[in-house]
Amino acid sequence: MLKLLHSALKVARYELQDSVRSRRFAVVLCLYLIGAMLACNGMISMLHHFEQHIARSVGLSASAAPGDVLRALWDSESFRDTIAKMTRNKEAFEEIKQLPLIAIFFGWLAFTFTPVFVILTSPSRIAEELATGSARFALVRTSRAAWCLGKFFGQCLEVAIALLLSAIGTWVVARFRVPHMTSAITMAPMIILGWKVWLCSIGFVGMSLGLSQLTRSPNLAIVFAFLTWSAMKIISMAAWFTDEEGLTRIWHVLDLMTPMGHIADLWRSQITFVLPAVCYVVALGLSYLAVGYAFFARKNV
Amino acid sequence: MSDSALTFDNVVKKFGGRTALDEFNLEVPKGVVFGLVGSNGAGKTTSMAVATSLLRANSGSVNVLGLGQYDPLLHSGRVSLMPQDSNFPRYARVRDLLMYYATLQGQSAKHAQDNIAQVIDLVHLSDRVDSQIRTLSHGMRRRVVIAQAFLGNPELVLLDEPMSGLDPKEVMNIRRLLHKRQEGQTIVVSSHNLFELERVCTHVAFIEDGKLVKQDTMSTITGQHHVLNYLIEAGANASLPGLRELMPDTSFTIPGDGSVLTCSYAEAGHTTAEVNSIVLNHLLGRGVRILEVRRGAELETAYMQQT
Repeated sequence: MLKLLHSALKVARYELQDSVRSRRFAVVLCLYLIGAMLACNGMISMLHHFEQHIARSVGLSASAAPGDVLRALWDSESFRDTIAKMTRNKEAFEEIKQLPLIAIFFGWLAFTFTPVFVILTSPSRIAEELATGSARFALVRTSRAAWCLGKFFGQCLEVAIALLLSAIGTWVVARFRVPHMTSAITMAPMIILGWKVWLCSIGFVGMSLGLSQLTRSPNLAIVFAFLTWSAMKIISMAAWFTDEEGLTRIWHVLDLMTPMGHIADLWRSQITFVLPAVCYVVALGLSYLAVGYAFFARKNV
Repeated sequence: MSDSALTFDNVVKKFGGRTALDEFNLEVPKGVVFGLVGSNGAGKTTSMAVATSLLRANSGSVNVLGLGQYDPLLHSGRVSLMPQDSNFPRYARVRDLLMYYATLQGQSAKHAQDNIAQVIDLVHLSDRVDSQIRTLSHGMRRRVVIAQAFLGNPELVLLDEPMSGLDPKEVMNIRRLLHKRQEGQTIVVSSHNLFELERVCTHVAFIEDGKLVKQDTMSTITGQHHVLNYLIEAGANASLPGLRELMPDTSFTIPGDGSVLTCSYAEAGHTTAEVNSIVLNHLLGRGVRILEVRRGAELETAYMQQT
């Protein structure tokens, strides 16, 4: 077991090195980073515009910086009740509300788009090596299990880099646009949320690499991953719009079998919600990987 | 302790309805350079992939270095493979790639660095060790593939078409590399280039339709110790009855256009020098002009006769 893990770590190190060097990663990372920064900037502009409109409507002087009016709105009981009804969980909303707006925005952005980033970069990693035959050089030197596990670790680290960079990018944009933003107070929850998003992305990395083991075509692997992610989204929406009663309970059960079904708990700050959710998403990632491996272990390379 | 580096025992490998290896048996002794010869689709590449567990056999067993079926965690560093049609990741640097493979097979970083310098020097690519794979020519990439197979001086090296795509100088270099292999190292080479195989291999096996046709030492297969060929002027009177009288236990034939006299003798009865001396004296005495004397048949001829 130790030998397997030792080999997997060597594969992971090289996987990260090779993956980061690939053109696909560079392009997707740039898009992700630019997208995060532009979205943050857009959100702040929209917010400011919205605040000025409100201020004009109620005959107040327009706020100098974005966030002033919204903070007041955020603190109003009636507004909180409305949002809590929308989120269907007042307790969860009260916890999330404690976070700075920029951190909430970053969390939403990362939870929404990190799976897309994973789907665009990870599914090709094994399929591509099987297609070119380069997997053979490694597979005569290490076991298939260690190789797949190493690829998985490497891809998880790659996502961590992307998340870290996008967090920094978002924070820098916010720092310039919102002058009164308290840097440390905003940065800490962003780091915690980034960490949670990363844990959640493990589920998607497992899914992507599980699918990557099924085919020799990198493009087909990406298509498989995209379709699976879409199916997960549909399940998640079906679970959101249905009650946990009768036959519709099936959507909630299926939702728990996807990483998306645990995102709500990952938003929480209480460990009793976060820890089971983390265990679930990590277990799901490893399970998806294992399902792909069950096929790959018997496959001709 | 087994004396075989690699043994196939009734191995069957099917791809859908097509049988690539059909109850295939082979025994590669330790410390030899072993040639695998066969036509396209005969099963050479498949046998190497089955030997390293890249392909799963449908039935039969393979024993690698006497340790049973190939297990990367057990055999890593002791067995290597040069696959025929595999490409490296395009953006990888030669040094990084070789470092990855060397550490994966258990070498320390320090040892791997020295080893990489050695193997890269063997294939004359020291000046390109920091280049990306995509910037190398096809021949250079093949040389990197050869280099990775010699990382850590494995006990068993499987080379699938190593000469393919190399320029003449590099072919000669690889031949030299195979000749001065480590003591006890076993090398299995598959190739269509019978001329090259004849020059580097000590043992050879013919494979056709996934079955072993014949396996023996190169000298036995080509008859180096029991056949002499005399290339003579066509139409010269070599007097076969006279030769048969001199050496009754030896067979003499002049097939085809009469330009080659083939002499097959029992290894136990005469030495090559004795036979050569008697035959040459006889031929020269009869005024036959001799253009060339060759020991044994060419591997190509032996292969065509056997398959």
